[in-house]
Amino acid sequence: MSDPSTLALAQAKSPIRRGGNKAGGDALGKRQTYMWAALFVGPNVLLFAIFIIIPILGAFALSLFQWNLIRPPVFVGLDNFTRMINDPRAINSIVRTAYLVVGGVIPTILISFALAVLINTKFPGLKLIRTLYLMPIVISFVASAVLWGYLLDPRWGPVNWVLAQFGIPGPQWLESTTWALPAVTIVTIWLRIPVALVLYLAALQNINQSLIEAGQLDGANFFQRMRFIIWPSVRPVTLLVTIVTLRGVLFESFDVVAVMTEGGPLRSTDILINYIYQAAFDRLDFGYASALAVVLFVIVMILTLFVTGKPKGEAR
Amino acid sequence: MVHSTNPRQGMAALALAGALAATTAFPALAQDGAGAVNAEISGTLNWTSMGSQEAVSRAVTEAYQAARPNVRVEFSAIPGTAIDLRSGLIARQLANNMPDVFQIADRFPRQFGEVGLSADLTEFLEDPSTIGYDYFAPTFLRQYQIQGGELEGTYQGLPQSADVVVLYYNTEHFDEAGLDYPDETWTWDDLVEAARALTRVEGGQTVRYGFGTRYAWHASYVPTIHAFGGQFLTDEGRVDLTSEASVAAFHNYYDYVQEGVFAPPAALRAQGDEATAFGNDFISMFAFPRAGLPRIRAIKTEGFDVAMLPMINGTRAAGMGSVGITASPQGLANNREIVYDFLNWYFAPDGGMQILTANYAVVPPSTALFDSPIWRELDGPPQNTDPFVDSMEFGVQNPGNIPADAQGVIDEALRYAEDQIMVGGMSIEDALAEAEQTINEELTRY
Repeated sequence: MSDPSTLALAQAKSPIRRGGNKAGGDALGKRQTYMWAALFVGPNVLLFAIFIIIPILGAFALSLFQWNLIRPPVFVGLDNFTRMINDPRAINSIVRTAYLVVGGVIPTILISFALAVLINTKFPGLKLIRTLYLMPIVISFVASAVLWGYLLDPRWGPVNWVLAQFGIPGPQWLESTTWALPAVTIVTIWLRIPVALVLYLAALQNINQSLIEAGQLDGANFFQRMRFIIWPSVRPVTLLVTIVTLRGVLFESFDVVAVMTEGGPLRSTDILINYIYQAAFDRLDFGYASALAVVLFVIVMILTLFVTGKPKGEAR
Repeated sequence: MVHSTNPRQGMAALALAGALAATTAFPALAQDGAGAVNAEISGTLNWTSMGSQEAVSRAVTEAYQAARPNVRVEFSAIPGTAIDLRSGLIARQLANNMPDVFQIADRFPRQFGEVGLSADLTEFLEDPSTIGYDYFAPTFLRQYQIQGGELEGTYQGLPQSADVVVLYYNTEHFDEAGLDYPDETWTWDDLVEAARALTRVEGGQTVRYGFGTRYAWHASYVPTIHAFGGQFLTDEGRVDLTSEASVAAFHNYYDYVQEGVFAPPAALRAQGDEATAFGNDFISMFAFPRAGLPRIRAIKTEGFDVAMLPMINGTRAAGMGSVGITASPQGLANNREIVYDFLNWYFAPDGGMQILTANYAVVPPSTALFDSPIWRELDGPPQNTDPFVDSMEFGVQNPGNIPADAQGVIDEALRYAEDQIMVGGMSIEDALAEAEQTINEELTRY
């Protein structure tokens, strides 16, 4: 049993009071709780507002103007958005971006999960293998893109050489309107896997082993254990991986496209972020670029809400 | 080469050594001692370069700091190329944080002047204590003098390099094919014939192309259109891509890309850039100014040389331009003494110019330095440095009256036209007509 006087002293010193005998004490406790919460959360909220919320609002506002940074901005209402509807390049960029999202996010989740399961076992050279899988994290996006440019070179790149060993004629990759976007997607997946892998690995190591053992005792085979025990156990992480990958695919693919294809050939890799950059910085058309950014923001919000939406009858 | 554990001492020693070496090259400046150590001048200088020139600009900064021990130099680089420099500077102007001195590309003087990014440097050029007009080769200085409008006649920058496109060729490939090296008698037909002989196909794949360049680049097509007797921009300010001369100019490149002896643009892009492709022996010849040398020499330090571009349609024409440097109005108003000193030092053959030329990227923009050992006597290749100067006589610049913002539209439309021809199977005529329409529609916005 605690000494009552010690307990009272501890409560008085505690920054977060969990209870009290009087109504006044409750109010004081709540105020103190809010104060401490504000103290800890405040700086984060402030920085988030300065660097995220305000720029987003700024982009929304700017999308209603025509502005080249040089002459005073001119209010044009929704003209930038109507201009977008009649701009085949904008439509093309949205379609290409959708392809990249579908082709990039889902494989990243599946591959990183499978790899995490594979390397979540003990075998000689485990540390080396894990380090190799994490390699893309320590290579800059630009360097990765240059490296992949060589790997995919149809003349002497090793990718086509390997395909040729199996009698498969390798495509022209970055020189082909059919294969350039898949090539960019492959590089994007390669870049996104390490983060997803780390998250899945952490989640796998937190799974209660007794559940898996119980499954084994009940006769569940590997795939059944995967389907009914492991996959549901890492579902919260899958949500996180999806959002992180989605963000990465949408925003961080710029470096890959800029280095590998510049949006070509024939705009086959002209994703929205590439078009936004060119509209803003090549043409100084900041109003239109902001309108495109607003569209990208809306796409991200819709996809995020879709991903985080709670499936019927399933608790996460 | 000076080896020192202290970069400042090393740079000071380099500057002093350069001062001695430059005496014969540019006596007036050497006597003035612009590059020598001067402890009398003090204060702070804030200067900015484009990211693509950060390494050499940092070396320049260290050398100036060593030569002016009582000046505090604050150097920054805006990541990217000239385009990114422009948006970065505009952002800094909006934040009231303009550097005193900054680099400028030859297509931006009018825009920079009109929006108040750059100051008029006429006073600097007329000041007897400075290098003055006579230092500069008039052709290159004129790129920074504004024609027409409120800024008529003002100098919104000074050229720091004299860039003219020359022909780089791989001597080993030529020897192997038993071909004579290019010389001043060469015509475009000779180049094409050589490209055919130099192209290598193995296992159905072309592993080496005879020639490659950035075809949809103003330094390629503007002089070629000129050689065919046309002009890229009409007197009315409209782009003319459907004239006989323009169509012939683009046929001059794309016909041979389609034949398989000039490298396709996508293949060059996959190499990183044309200079890297040449360094990697992927192309045997390519057309570029001296600025491409550092990238080539990073890969290949033997087995190549340069010549003048061949004559096209009986005319020799080469793309010409420059990168420059300028001061902000704030820099001139608040920090004139140091800005003047820095600019003087920057162009001195025993000062900044020696650093700029030492990495092979720059031909000095000064007639008096065209024969200077600071760049002529650098170890080869190229062994032949004459084409960098001799080609100036045939230089054709990108039209100066293209609005600065429109250049991005032109570049983009022509790159797209190139893709339509190369990948989409469209005829050169149709692709150029579409590009012309796109560009001229956009030009009406400016």
